[in-house]
This record gives sequence, structure tokens and C-alpha cells, in this order.
Amino acid sequence: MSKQITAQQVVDRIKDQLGTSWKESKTDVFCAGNPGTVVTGIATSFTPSIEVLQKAADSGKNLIITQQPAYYLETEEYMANDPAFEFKKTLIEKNKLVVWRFDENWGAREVDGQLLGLTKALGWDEYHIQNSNSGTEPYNPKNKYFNLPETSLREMVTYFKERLNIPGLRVEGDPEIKVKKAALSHGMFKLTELQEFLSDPEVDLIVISEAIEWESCEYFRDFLTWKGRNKAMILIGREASEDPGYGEAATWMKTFISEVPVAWIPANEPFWVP
Amino acid sequence: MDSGKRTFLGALVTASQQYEDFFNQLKRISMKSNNISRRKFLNMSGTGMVAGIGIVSGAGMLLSQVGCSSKVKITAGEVMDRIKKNVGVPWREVTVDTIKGAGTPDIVLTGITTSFMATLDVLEKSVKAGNNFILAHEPTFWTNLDKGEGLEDDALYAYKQEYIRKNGLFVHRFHDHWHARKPDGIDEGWKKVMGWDTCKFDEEHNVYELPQEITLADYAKEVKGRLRSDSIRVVGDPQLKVLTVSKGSNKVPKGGAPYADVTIHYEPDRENNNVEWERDIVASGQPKGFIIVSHNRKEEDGMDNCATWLKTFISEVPVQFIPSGNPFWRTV
Repeated sequence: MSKQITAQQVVDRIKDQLGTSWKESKTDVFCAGNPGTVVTGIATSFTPSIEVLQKAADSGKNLIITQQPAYYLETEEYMANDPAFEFKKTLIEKNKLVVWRFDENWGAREVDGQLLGLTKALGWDEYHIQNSNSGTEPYNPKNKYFNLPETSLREMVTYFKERLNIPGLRVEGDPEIKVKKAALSHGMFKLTELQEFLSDPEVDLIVISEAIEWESCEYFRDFLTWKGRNKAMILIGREASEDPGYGEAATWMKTFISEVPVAWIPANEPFWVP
Repeated sequence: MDSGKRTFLGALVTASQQYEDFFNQLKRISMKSNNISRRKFLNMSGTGMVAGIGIVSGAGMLLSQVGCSSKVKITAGEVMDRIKKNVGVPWREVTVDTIKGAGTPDIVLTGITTSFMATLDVLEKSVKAGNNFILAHEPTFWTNLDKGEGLEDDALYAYKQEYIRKNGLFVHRFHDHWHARKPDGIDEGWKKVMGWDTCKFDEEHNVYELPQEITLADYAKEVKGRLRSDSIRVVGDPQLKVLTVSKGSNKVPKGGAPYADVTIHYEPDRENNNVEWERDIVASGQPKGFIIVSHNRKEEDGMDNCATWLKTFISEVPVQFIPSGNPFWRTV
């Protein structure tokens, strides 16, 4: 008979693992349920969607550890009477689920779990340029460049769709160009990161989650008009960009949590395309 | 290189710059005249630029023709005054609708472009078409206020600024007031392209009724065609029966969404918030669908509509809608 562990104890153990690097953060908090709940199993995911919560409950897991909060980025007061909010709240209460958000501290480790997860999801591990910007840890957040076998953008887009199962991706750039050096971003993409990628003239494929369209997407388009159309950008979507990292989070937690099963439940792409 | 050659080349460069400046001046003056066709003028200007020295004779010829012109010229400032007068709402003190880049109101116009955004491509196409006034709905320098934050040392920023300056362009944003107009000028263009202008409209709930019920899968295909976009994204059951539609907000929760079967909106604010709520609305059993289009697809037709509107009170120069086009594609 294994020892019992509560949600709070799981979180404490995560804090212990991170040691002095742990920082109190508004995005690393319980967002639903009682921290004193005895854990029956742990599910990790990008976001606690109704579907993810349902799958967790169905597989006997009552602690859900996610990057995104339980009720979108809004307050419960603001969401009151909203059908999605009410349904989810009832689902959580009925199944005595606990949602703990694990965002900033997961992202602040020396190994960038989000970068590593996405790299593995893409099957790009062997192409990763280690120590490209930071010499100590291969998957340091700065080491986000890849030397790929030369491929046409058209082939690359097909590969992305199939490999990540994301029919809803979007692309900028001429499908006939060849790409061979990629820069990989995850999370909300900022113009500063685009400027950094473009400062390396060899980078010809930029992979991002999503961006403010009139910022990075239009800047990139102007850049192509200015310098020639030999680069491309693939927007894979926020979920596709962030979810594999929570697979890594599950793998990491298994190294120090043995009382209960830990599993990644992918949220999957929210879109379909006509 | 010996100093003699260097001096000679230096003089040549200076001379050619002077020619260019002179020629730009001349272009402004001569474009008053419709006696010279725009095409002919552009051909002449091209020859002048390339030939360098030959410009002098070309210029003389132009000046003699300008002399017999009686056509009315119009400046960028005068066009802006007319826009302000015709838009029908007071011009705001604080607004993003300002000049972008080096242009000044005294620039004599040769032609007007309307566009969703003054992308570099739209600027180049405008120059080619002989339009030196660009009225653009969204920012020019990639941030809402166009103040150049974070772009101080950015080479593309410098290039675009210089492109506007050296081509004597006048770029002005037309966002707040085109939306504030009654009816909203962007919305007017959107409704037309969506075919909603002939639909039954519930004003209180901002909901349109389609002529007949259709599945979400089929309606998404229709939207794709109407908006000329292969990169739209959909949330909801493809078999959902759709009769009512709404142009929704990209925030959570959405205006219109509680009343319409399908809400169409642009650029989620952001996917992790807006789209996740949509997914949960559907998972919670609500019979709703959402169609997500790019910012450009949502608003560009409203700037085509703007060109039509401008033509009702500007006849001195040609007015032309130049699409910046959807930035995204998907189908391989």
C-alpha cells in the first residue's frame, strides 16, 4: 500500500525540486479545488479544457497541472453565468478535481521544458544546434536554432501538419523556397524575438505559436518585400506550441513522484479547417 | 582610386541627387496637369532618372506643358480636410489617425491608395501606380501607436521611413473615424462581402439571419470563398445547423455569441483565452460555432469600400484600393 499524497504535498515537492530557483508567482497557483485533496493521479496539460478535465476524471486523475488557468484569463466574477464557466465549475466540483497552474516556474528552469517538448514533438532533436547561444545546458531557453536537412517550404508545411496533427496551421512565405536553418519559438511571439531571429541571416524558417498580426506577421511580410522572399514563418498555434512541454513536465515529475500515476493529457488543436 | 576620379564621381552623385530632388519637385508641379497622361509622365520620369543628364531636356519639355495646364491641384491636407468634413463625426483630439512617416500636408497629390495596411508592398505598388497618398486602416510601423518603440536601431524601420521620404509619400491612418462613421465604413464593406447586407438584421442583438439553414461545415466553406482565404479556422461541430450569424468580438465572452448560432471574429485575443473559451462553450453542450479569420480578411474589404466613398467627393486625382492581401496561406 503506497503512501497517500495531497495536492499541496505534490506542489511542495515540486518546489523542493526547484530549490532556490522557486519564486512565488501569480501564474503558479491553485486555481480550483481544495489543495488538501488526496491525489489519485496527476494529469498535465497545456490547458484545463473541459475535455482535458473530463479525460482526467475518467482515468482516475484528480490533480490537473497546467500552464493555463482554470477559467481562461478572466476572474470568476466576470465569468459568472457564462455557460462554459458554469459547466466547468460544476465538473470540477462534482469530480473533486484540483487544478494547479504551473507556468512561470516551469518556464524558468535552466532546461527549457517547453523548447525540449516541442523539439521532440517535431522529431528535431538530432538537428538541434546545441550551445548556439548558451554553453552549459543544451536546451537552455536561448538555444532555439536547428540545422535541418534542406527541404522545400511546401514539404515542411505538410510535415508539420502531419507530425503535430495541426491542420489549422498558417504560413507566410513562398512555398517553393528551400529552408534549412530554423528558429523555434514557443508561447506568445514578440517582435523583439523576431528581430533576434532575423539578425541571423541564415535563419530561413521561423516557427512560432501566435503573434499580434499587425506586429510580427506584418513586420515579417515587410521584411520579405525588403530583403527578398527567401524566408518563411509557420504559425502552429498556441496549443500546439505549448502542449508538448507539458508532456516533458509529466516526464520530469515522474522522477520524484511515485505514489500516483502521472500522465500527459494533450489538449489537442482546438480548430478544424473547412 | 585617384583623387581626380573620386571628385568627379562625387560631383556626379551630388548632381544626380540634385536632379532627383528637382525632378520630384517637378513631378509635384506637373501632376497638376492632366494634359500629360499619368502613364506618359511615368515613362518620362523613368527615362529621366536613368539617363541622369538627359533629365534636363525632359524637364524643359514637361515645364512647357505644365504651363498650359488649367486643372485644379489638390494637396494631402486638402484631402484630409474633405475626409474630416465628410466622415460625419467630430475629429478626435486623441486618435491613431495621424500621418505616418515623413509626409506633409502640402504634398500635391498624384493619386490616392486605400489599403488595410501600408505594407512595403502596398507602398511599392502605390508608387508604381503613381499614387503618392496612402490611406491605411492599420498601423504602418507594426505597433498601434506607431511611435517606433523598440525600433530605434531597426534597419527595416529605417528603410520604410526612408522609402516614404524619398518617394514623397503621404501616409495617413484611417481607423478610428472610419469605424466611428455611421454606418461603420469597415462594417459596411464586410457586410457586403459576406452577403449580410440583404439579410434580416436583429439590431438589438447584432444578429443576421441567413436566407436558409446550412451546416457549419458548409457555411465555413462559403466564408472561405467570400473572404478569399484558405487559412480560416473553425471551432464547433461541423454538422451544427446554422441560421443566425454575428460579427463577434475577439474577447471573452463575446457580444452576439449568446444569440447567434455562429460568431465570426478576427485574430483571437489571444488563442489561450478566447479560443479556449470557445472550445469549452462547445464542450459544455451549447449549439454554437466560431469562425476565426485573420485581421486582414476581416477588415480589408472595408478599405475597398473606403475607396468607393472617397470617389464621391474627390475627383481631382485617381482613387484606387490596393489590397495588402491575407498574410497567411495553408493549403499545400
